[in-house]
Amino acid sequence: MTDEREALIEAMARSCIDRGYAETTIEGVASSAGCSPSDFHRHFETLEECALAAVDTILAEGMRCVASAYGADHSESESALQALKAMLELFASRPAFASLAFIDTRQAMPSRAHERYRWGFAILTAMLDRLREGGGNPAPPSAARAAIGGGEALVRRELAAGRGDRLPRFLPDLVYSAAVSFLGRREALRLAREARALLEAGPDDESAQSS
Amino acid sequence: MNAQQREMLLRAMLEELVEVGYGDASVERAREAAGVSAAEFEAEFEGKDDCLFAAYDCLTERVVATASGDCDQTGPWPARVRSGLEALLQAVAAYPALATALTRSFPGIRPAAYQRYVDLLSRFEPFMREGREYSGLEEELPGEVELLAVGAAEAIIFGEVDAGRASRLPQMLPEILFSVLVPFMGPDRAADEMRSAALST
Repeated sequence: MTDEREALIEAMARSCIDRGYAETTIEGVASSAGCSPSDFHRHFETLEECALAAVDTILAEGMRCVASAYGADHSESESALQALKAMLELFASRPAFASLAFIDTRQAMPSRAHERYRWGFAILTAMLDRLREGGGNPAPPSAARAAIGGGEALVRRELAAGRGDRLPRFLPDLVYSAAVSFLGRREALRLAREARALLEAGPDDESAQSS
Repeated sequence: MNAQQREMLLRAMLEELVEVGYGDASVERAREAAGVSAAEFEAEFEGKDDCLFAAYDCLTERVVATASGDCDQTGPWPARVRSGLEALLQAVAAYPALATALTRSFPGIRPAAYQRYVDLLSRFEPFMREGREYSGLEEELPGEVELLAVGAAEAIIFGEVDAGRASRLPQMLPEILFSVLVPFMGPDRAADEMRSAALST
């Protein structure tokens, strides 16, 4: 029963990446999950409900990445870097879900899913805005929104082109975009170099050390 | 159909899309609004999708022309970015329904339509490439800094249009300008440009 529900959620995400939410149907989702429309209705009343479950799946996984990256033994900037790296790796491994979260909720989905997009965006913006707390910063109120937006445009371009697997390599670009308004070019470039070093250390660095 | 009717038809089609959504958008209503007969429509378009994609392509050409045409070709780079951005924000504020079609309704139709939107954003990148030279940092800047700057402006424009506040965008010129310039110039110099834009708007 749970497996069937998960298969439907997976099929929903795949359908969105293949044909978009607007052209996704209950019949199509059910058939690609290997079940019937009446099986679909045992789990979800509407297509939208299934889409919301898919959006919530990737949001929860994203939150888990952020939470596990913020450790007491890391500085704020190290934690933020690790969180961003973990999120990009998550999106690279789940491109259909990432596409759902970044493209379909933003462009095509009904209001409840669209609201989740706005919440996610608002949470990231609020986190980034904390960098402002140095005082005397000239960045206008919308600077964090804009910085997140810049990174998002890059993520969406890659996802739309079917290149979700390449996302982790853009860590330095995203770090620079997030930092430059608040910390200046020199510090943002330093963080971008740190991000590059983290990438060059290899994705399996930690697991290699622990095994 | 003559050029004026064609223009009206394309616009009516995008307005249909915004008002009733893709599934219910009606070619008949758009034709009636433009005074175009079924035969004239069929002579030019294969169907609803063909007409919608033509309408979107026409709209994006105009958006790019608006932003680049108003750009004074001789001034320093930040001043040219400012005049291009100003023209763009005024156009978006003047036609809120078309702005919704541009940023949300059309790209939401399906992946091929969304790709058109990605392509539109990438057409602004050459304007930003000059910023890389202007920055004095050139190759030190991240490889995607041009798209990051375009995406920064897009996020604010999308957010305001989506919230039904497109009319506010021209007032936001100074802060949007800051976010477009900051990856190249840093916060202090971008803030100088923001303040000078605020004084003259």
